[in-house]
This record gives sequence, C-alpha cells and structure tokens, in this order.
Amino acid sequence: MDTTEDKVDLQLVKIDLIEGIRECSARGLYHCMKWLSELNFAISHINLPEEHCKFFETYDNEYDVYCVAKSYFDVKEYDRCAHYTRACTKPKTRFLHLYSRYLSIEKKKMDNMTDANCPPDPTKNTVLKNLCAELMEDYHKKRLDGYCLYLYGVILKKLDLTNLAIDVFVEAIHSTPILWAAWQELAQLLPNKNKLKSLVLPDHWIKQFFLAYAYLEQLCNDESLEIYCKLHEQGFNKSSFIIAQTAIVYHNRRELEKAIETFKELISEDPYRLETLDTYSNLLYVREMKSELADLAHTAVSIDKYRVETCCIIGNYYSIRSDHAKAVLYFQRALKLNPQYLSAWTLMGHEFMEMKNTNAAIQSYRHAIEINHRDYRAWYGLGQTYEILKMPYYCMYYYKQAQHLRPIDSRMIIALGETYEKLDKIENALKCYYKARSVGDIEGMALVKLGSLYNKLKLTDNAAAAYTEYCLKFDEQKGSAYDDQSEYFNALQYLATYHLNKGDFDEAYTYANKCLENEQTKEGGKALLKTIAAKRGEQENIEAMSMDETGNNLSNMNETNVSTMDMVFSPP
Amino acid sequence: MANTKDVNPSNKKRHKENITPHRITVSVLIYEFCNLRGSEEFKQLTETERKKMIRSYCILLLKLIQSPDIALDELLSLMLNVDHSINNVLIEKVKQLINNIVTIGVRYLLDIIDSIGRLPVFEENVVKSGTIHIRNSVVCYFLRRFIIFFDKLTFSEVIVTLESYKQYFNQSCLSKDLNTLPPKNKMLSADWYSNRDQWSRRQAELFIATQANLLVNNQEQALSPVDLHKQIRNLLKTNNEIPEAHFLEYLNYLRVKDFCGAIESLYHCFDKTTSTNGRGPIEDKIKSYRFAALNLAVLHYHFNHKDEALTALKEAIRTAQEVSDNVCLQHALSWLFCLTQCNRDKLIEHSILKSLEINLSYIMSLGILSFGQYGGLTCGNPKQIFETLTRSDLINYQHSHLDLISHSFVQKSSLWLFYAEAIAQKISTFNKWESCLRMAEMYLYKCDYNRAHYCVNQILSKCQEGKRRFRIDIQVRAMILLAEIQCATSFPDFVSPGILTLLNSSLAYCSDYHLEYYTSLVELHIANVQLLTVLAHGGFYDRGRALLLYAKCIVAYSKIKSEEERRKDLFDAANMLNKSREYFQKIEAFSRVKNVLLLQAQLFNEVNAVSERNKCTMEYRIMDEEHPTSNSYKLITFL
Repeated sequence: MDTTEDKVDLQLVKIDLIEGIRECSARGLYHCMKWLSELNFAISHINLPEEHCKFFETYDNEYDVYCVAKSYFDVKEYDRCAHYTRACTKPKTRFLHLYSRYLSIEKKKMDNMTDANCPPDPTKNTVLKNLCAELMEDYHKKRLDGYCLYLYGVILKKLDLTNLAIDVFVEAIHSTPILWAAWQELAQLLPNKNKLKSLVLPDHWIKQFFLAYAYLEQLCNDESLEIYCKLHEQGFNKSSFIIAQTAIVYHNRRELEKAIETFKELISEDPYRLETLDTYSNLLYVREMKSELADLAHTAVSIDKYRVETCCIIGNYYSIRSDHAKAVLYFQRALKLNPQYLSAWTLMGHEFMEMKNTNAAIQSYRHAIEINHRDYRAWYGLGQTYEILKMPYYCMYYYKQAQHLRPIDSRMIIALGETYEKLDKIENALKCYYKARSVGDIEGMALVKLGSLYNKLKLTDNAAAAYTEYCLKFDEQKGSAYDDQSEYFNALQYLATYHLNKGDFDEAYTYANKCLENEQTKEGGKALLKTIAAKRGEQENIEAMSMDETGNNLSNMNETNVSTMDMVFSPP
Repeated sequence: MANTKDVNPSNKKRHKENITPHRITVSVLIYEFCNLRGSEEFKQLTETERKKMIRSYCILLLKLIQSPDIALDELLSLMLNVDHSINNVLIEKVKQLINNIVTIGVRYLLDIIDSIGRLPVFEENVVKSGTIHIRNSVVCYFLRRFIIFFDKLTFSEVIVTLESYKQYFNQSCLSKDLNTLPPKNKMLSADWYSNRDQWSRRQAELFIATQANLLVNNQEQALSPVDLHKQIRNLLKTNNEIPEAHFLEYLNYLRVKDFCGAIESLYHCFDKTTSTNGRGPIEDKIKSYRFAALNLAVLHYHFNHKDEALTALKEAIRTAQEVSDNVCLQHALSWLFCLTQCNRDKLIEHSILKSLEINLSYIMSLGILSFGQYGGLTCGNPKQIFETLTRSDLINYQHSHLDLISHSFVQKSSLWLFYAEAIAQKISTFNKWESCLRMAEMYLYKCDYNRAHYCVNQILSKCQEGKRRFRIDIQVRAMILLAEIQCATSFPDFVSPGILTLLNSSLAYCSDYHLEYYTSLVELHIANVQLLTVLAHGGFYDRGRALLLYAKCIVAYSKIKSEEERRKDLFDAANMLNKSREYFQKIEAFSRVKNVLLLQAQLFNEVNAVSERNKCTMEYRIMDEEHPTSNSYKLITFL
C-alpha cells in the first residue's frame, strides 16, 4: 500500500465534513448529520483557510460545537446537547444550550408520568427553578436576546409566574418581533381584554395576526373576524392558519354553515393538517352530518392515529352513532395523550350522560372545570346531570355559573328559566325567557317556553302572543336552525284552539289548516276544522235567525257549510 | 362493552402507598434494631436492661410508623432521646447504614431492602434467640407493606426514590458533618405540616381530620383562616382526589362567612365525593346526591337564607323519600324543624321516634333537646319536659356525645330560669298585680334587686298617688317585699331605720283591716329585722338576750317535730345558750346567767344529757351562792 495515499489531509476532510453536514441537515438526515458532526468535532483543532469560513462567521470558533450540538438536539438527545454547549457564549449556541436543558426537563417529566409508584418528587421543580434562576441572572444583566427572553417567559409560565411571564414575552416581542411563538404564548396568557388593550406592542405587521389571535382567545369573535378578513384580502388568503382561525370564529358565532364551509376549504387547501379539526368534527356532530363525520374520522386516523384531534373526531363519530361506550374509550385515549386536553373531558361527560352514568359524567365535568374554571360547557353539563337526578335547586348553581360565563347565550338562560319554573319561581322563569329572547334565542326555545308557561298560568293572550311570534320566526327561518318541527306544529295547534275560543274563526282556520302538514297534529287539525265549521255555522245560524226570518237562512247555511267542507277535504 | 358503564373516566384508582424516604429510614431502623437484638453485645445485658431497651424502641417505632413523615434530623433526635447504654451503638449503626445508602447508591439500597425482606419477623412466630417475632404485629405489618410496595417499583422509580432519599439526606445534619447531632427532641413538633410542599395521602387525611375536628369543637385551636386556606390549597396540589379537603375548605369559608367560597367548595366536594366512591354499590353513589342537597340547605341556613335553605331541604327530602333513605330523612327532618314554623311539635316528635327506630342516637338526642326547648316555649308540662331531657342525657352518656351533653346542661339551666319568669308573667293575664308581686319575689331570689324594686314600686307608687284602690293585702305584701328588698340590699352593713317604719306602717294597715295572717307575717319580719339589728350592733347584754330569745323560739318550735329531731334541736339550743351565757357573764349580769343556766339544765334534762345537766346545775349552785337573787322564775316570761 502506498503510504502517501494513506495520509489523510485533515483540512480537506474538514471541508468535506462541513459541506456534508449542511447538505444532510437541509435534507433532514439527522442521524447522518450527527455522525458527521461528531467526526467534525473530533478535529475541531483544525483551522480552515479564510475562504471556507464565510458561512459560519457568526459562530466564531463555536461552529464545530454548534454542529454537534444541533445534531444531538435534532435527534432529541437534549442532555448531550446541553453538555457540549455548556461553555458557549454566542447567541445561537447559548440558546441551544438553555433550550435543550429546558426540553430535557420537560421530556423527563413526561416520561416519569408513568412512574406512579414513587414519591412525589420534590426535586422535580427544583431543576426548573435552577434554570429559571440562571436565566433571571442573565435577564437582570440584560444579556438575554429575544429568543432567550422567550424561553425565560416559557419557564416563568411553567412556574405559574404569569404576570412576570407576560412582561418578559412583551420584551421578547419588542426585541424580536418575528418570533411568533412569543406572541402566541402572550395571547394565551392574557387574563382579559383590558390587559390586551393596555399592552405596549411594537408596530410590526405581525401585530395584526397577534391581535386577531388574542381577540379570539378572549372570545371577542367580531373583532377577530374583522382583522382576519382584512388579512385575507391583503393577500394572505392561502394561509391555512387564517382559514382555520376564521372557521373557529364562525363556530363561536354559531354560524354553523359558514364554519363548515370554511373548514372544507381548509381541508382542500391543506389535506393533512389535523390541528383544529376536532372543532370541525363538533360542527359536523351538531349538524348531524353523519357521513361527513365518518369521512373525516377515516382521513384523520390514516394521517396519525395517535393525535388528540384524531381521537376526538373518532369519539364524536361513535357518539353520533349512539355507540357511547366506544366514544368514551376514544375520549379516554385522547386524555391519555394529553391529560390537559379540556374538551375531551367535557365531551366524555356528555357521553357518560348519554349512558346514564351520572357519576362518571359528574367526575368528567368536574375534571374539565379543574383544568379550566371558565369552561361553560362543563358547568352546563353538570347542571344537566343534576337536573336529570331531579335536583332542580341544586343544579341551579351550575346553570348560574354557566350563564355567568356566557351571558348572552340563550341556552344557559333557558336552562335557568326551566329550573326556576320547576321550583315554581314563575317570575324569575319569565324573566329568564324574556332575557333569552332578547339575546338572540338561537334555537327559538325561549318563545315556546314562554308560551307554555303562560298557558300554564292561564294567561292565554300572552301565550298566544309568544306562540305567534315563534311561528313567524319559524316561517322566516324555514327550519334551518329550528330543528324541532313538533314544537312548531304544537304551537300552531295551540293558536288554532286559541282563536277558535275567541271566536276568531278565520285565524283559527288558517292555523288549523297548517296543522294538517304534520302527522302528529293532523288528527287534531281535522278535529279543529270540524269544530270551526260547526261553530261558524252555529253562529251564522243565530245571526241569520235574528236578522232574517224569511227562510233564506237554510240555503245560506248550506252554502257556507259546503264551502268549508270543500276546504277541509282539499288536499293539503 | 356492557361493563364499561362502570369504568371511571380516569385511570382506575389503586390504593397505593409511596415509598417515602421516611419509610425507608424507619425500615432501616427496624432492621438494625433486629440485628442488635441478635448481637452478643445485647445478650450480655441484664434482663431488665434488655427489656428497657426493647420497650423504649417499640414505643418509638410505633410512634414513627403512625405519625406523619418527619425530617431525618427529627427522627435522629427522637432516637437520641432514648436513654440507654447501648443506644449509641444502634444510632451509629443506623447512621452508617443511611450514609452507605447515599454514598454507595442503588446497589446498596437494593441489597439492604433484600436483607430487610429476610428478617426473622417474616417467619412464622419463631422463637429465636429468646425473642418472639409476631407476624401480625404493627411493625411486621408495616415492613411487609413496605417490602411489597418497594417490590412494585420499576428500576426508574427506584432511581427516583433514591434521588429523593438523597435530597432528604442532604437536608439533614448528617450530610454536613457526621459527628454533630441535632439537639434532643422529645416530641414530634406540632406544626409538622408547615412549609410542606409534598403531602402523602395519609398525612393529608390526618391534617384534614384534626383541623376539621378543631373547627367543630375548638375553633380557637385551629389554624387561622388564612393559614388553613393556604395549607388546603397546597395539599390539594398533590392530593387532588380527597373530597374532604374541599369540605374542610368549606368549613373554613363558613368561619369567615364567605358565601361564594363556601358554596363553591361545597359543590366541588360533592362532585368529587360521587367519584371517589364510584366503585361502591349504586345506592352509595346516589346517596351522596341527597346529602349534597342537605348540606346545601345547611349552608344556606348558616347564611340565614331561610327560603333557599328550605327549597334545598325539600329537594333533599324528596330525593330521600324516593328511595326511602330514612337516615337522610331524619337528618333532613331535624333541619326542617329549625327552618319551619308550622307543625313543629309533630315534626320533632316524629323525628325522635323514627331516629330511635333506626338507631340514630345523635339525632334522637338532639331531637329530644329541641323538643325540650320547644315544649318550654309553648307551655309544655315542665315535669314531662325534664323527664324527656333526662332521657336525652342518658343517650348522650351512652354514646358520649360530648357536645350534646354540654348542650343539655345549658338547656336545662335556661329552662329553669325561663320557667320562673314564664309562670310569673303568665299570671299577669289573670291578675296584673299578683304577677307584679310574684315577679318581684322571683327577682329578689335572683338577687336582681333593681328589677324587683321596680316591680314593687309599680304597685306602691300607684297607692301613693291614690289613683287606684288595691286590695289591701296586695299593698301590704308589696310593702313587706319592699322591706325585704331594702333589707337584702343593705345587709350586713347596716339596717336602715326606714325598714322598720315601713314594716310598722304595714303592721298598722294589717291591724286596721284585721288581716291577722299578715299581721303575724309583718311581725315576723320586724322580729327578723330587729334581731339582725341587735345581733349586729347591740351590746353584749342585748345580744345575750336576743340569743336567749332565739333559743326559746327553737324550743317552742321543736314541739311539732318528731321525737328524735326534737331532741337534737333541744340539745343544739342548749348548747347555743352557752354563747348567751358568755355574753351575760362578761357584763356580770349574774341573775341572767343563772336564768340561762337554769334553762340549759332543764333542756339537757329533757334530752337526757345527764353530765351536761349536772355541770349546769353545779354552776348554778355556785353562782346562786355567790350572787343570790330573789326571783329565779322570770326566765320564761322575760325576754
């Protein structure tokens, strides 16, 4: 063998290695990159000539360390990454060091969650606190850049130091406006709208995205929608983020059709995106679009079956099939993947309710509330559970909580009204129904309840007024949001009877005629029509008798009778 | 899928125990102690010394096993406190072992756990080297559980346990210097729960139980509301599944009258309660709903929301009735009694009878007490009321309901007080002035002179103004009472002359209107007042005469008594005369002394006290010789 061929030119090797590392990194060949970086690090004492150093000048002499650390980071060997970067001072390597330490702590915490038998580890938070203290020191020396500030904020948030975290995130944003993660964390931390308005934010195009996102977090749907629409027009119409957010806004505004359309658009643009699709499945569930939901579940499970969204979608699908036990199973799986996943707790509560397992339902709802005290659906669910247990007074507290959190949601107010009605607090019940009507009355139930309550109180005029309004609204919407047809026909029947008793035969006739359109009220309608005809005849008879004694009345009566008879038997 | 109905939404709860550092140390201590008992050193001790050591450590171990986890320093100081020659050997061994665990690490820990598992305590009641290990002793039970739960740990869990043990070790003085030891400490410190981030379930339960008990029975001793709140919050972080913590929080909120907090905690508590007994029979689950409503009623009652309380209570009653849960119904019934105004007698009667039937002693006793109160307020028969109260006492003592026992005492004393006033007041509907007099009389006995005076004055001022003519006897009685009041207020400092004037004028009325009975009554009072005056302020001569008169009264009165009592009275009277004689002798009223001696001699003769009689007669004779008097028979008629 030739000895000269054996001799390796380390400079040449290093040039090749650095090139290889860049190429592999760009292609996501992390393990290969790791091998190359390790080798490169082993010869880090070799210096390259000037012309080869152009792309890593920002690293100074830390480029080799950076490469090896980054490769360890990419393959999730955080402790190793932190170890190699422990002495680094340059911004990127420093951030990598701190971030890998943080991720290592979090990863271990997640891994240890399965170790249920050991004592609650008092050291668990000490490590995080130590890291936090280190960052705090740098923070006070003003040595943190925007990225490190963000990391500091994240750790503060983990330690429940919310107000401090908000300040730090704002600083991070000012220093590095493009860091969306900081904006996002900030939006999730804000306690209310006022705090949002009081923030001093940098004037940057990304601010609009933040505001829209933050408004949505605060459930200020209108403000949010406005900004998203503007962004959409300004050329971001392809952004799947904006489309998804718009869909959620529509969902929150209960504009179900629009929301579904937007989600469909999102899926066609970005078919493998799973985020927020659980909301879509909720929508499909509410609209009872079984086959669409089935398709969605199919797609989701083939993309990634170990995602909370997927589990949630499947859960919803089983639920719509009334296979509640299986639905519960999938919600449980979602919770195993993420115990903090709020809506799964609530949805599981609903399933247990369907299965008449009130205990488990209460437990699920309570869990949801423990995670987020503001989850109105869980409060409402608890109210329903206790209502089923026939404890109207006890459940009122829950409905009140729910109503407090959703002051303009008519469903909560109606639930409250019904409870009052059960407790014989008629005045309060009436107040609730009126309030529900005035805040929009999504399902139109407020008027029905009002009508039946007035009827019960024998205030027939008021009852009739309520039913009339209900029928008018129903006709307007033509059943789009008003699913329950039977209520409509019952109202019609009531109105027919009411007008009949008042002697207003024409009105009674119109309503009774409408009753014929429904199977349930058909018989009643027919009977009503007969009575109307009879009464009308009777009345005219009397009128005729009193007015005319020549005997014309007979033909008259016959005429009217025939005409009504014709109308009765004409096909509806 | 059929049984998924009963599946809990969260992971199935296992009753698990954590291997805490404290438990490891206690196990190590037991291990070393067992070794010591087998050692030569121990065997060389005398029998009594050995027993002493064993007794001290058995007590200490029991304490350590049953108490909450404590710091290593505290444990060591408890050990140091044992006073025994061989104690130091044991402590050194334990310290060495602990040190090895920390320095050598996981291999040593696992080895030592194995050795603990092979201790003789696990063998069937063997008699080994003179000692008997009993398999089902407290210590053995503790060790067995420890071994079983340690065995369940995965390797990574063992590492976590070891890490936490190191942490525990580093906080003690052992880590700094092996030679310094903590100061001796006799007791477990009472505030073991302070500054605590980690709570084991057992500790949490102990804390909740003690604090709840204090809140109910001795609020002053409990933690302050703010501290308690902090502790509960802290405790809930690691022990989310204890509904009782929320109930304690509820009690704490009640203490500071925070309605919102109270109601929130109460609801939280009962939502959680339904889940913890999720594995029990269905009836148990539904049971908690009823009691939730019942407790809601109690909450509203506490905040004086009567209507809300009643609504909630009705709900509880209705749900209880549906499944005929008599226990809940009885609880509800006793609350209903507090909340409602109609048919109370029937409610409480029913409550008592039904509670008796289903053995709810507390409610029954409480019911009886309430019944007593109710009866008292609504003219029940006093005799019967007290009879019922006695029955309540009986139950309380049987079941040692301490709070009810004290409650009963309060009730009885207030009933007694109430009756006096109530009867006197009731008379006023028939006769206002009679009532007035009776009230005055009662107040006099209660030493409430102001009120008594006021009552009497009502009558007397009317008389003086002449607006109203009374029956003369009422006026006289009022005057007598007034005299009594004055007498009582001024006694024993002085007797105001006004009293006698008053009595005299009433005497005049009496004789004018021929009220023979009241005449003598007034005279009695005059006598009393005068006797008081004489005895308090008179000279020896007068005092002697007064005493003599008193003795004569006693003798006169003794006639109506039984033979035996009469003899005793006579004897006493005769002895009392000694005093009178002494007074007379001091002022040398010899004829008087002779009179007294004569009387004494006759009295002693009457009761057959021969020696006393003879003594008196002899003295009389000596006296008579020295100071002869003409008339010796004035005794009876003279004062």
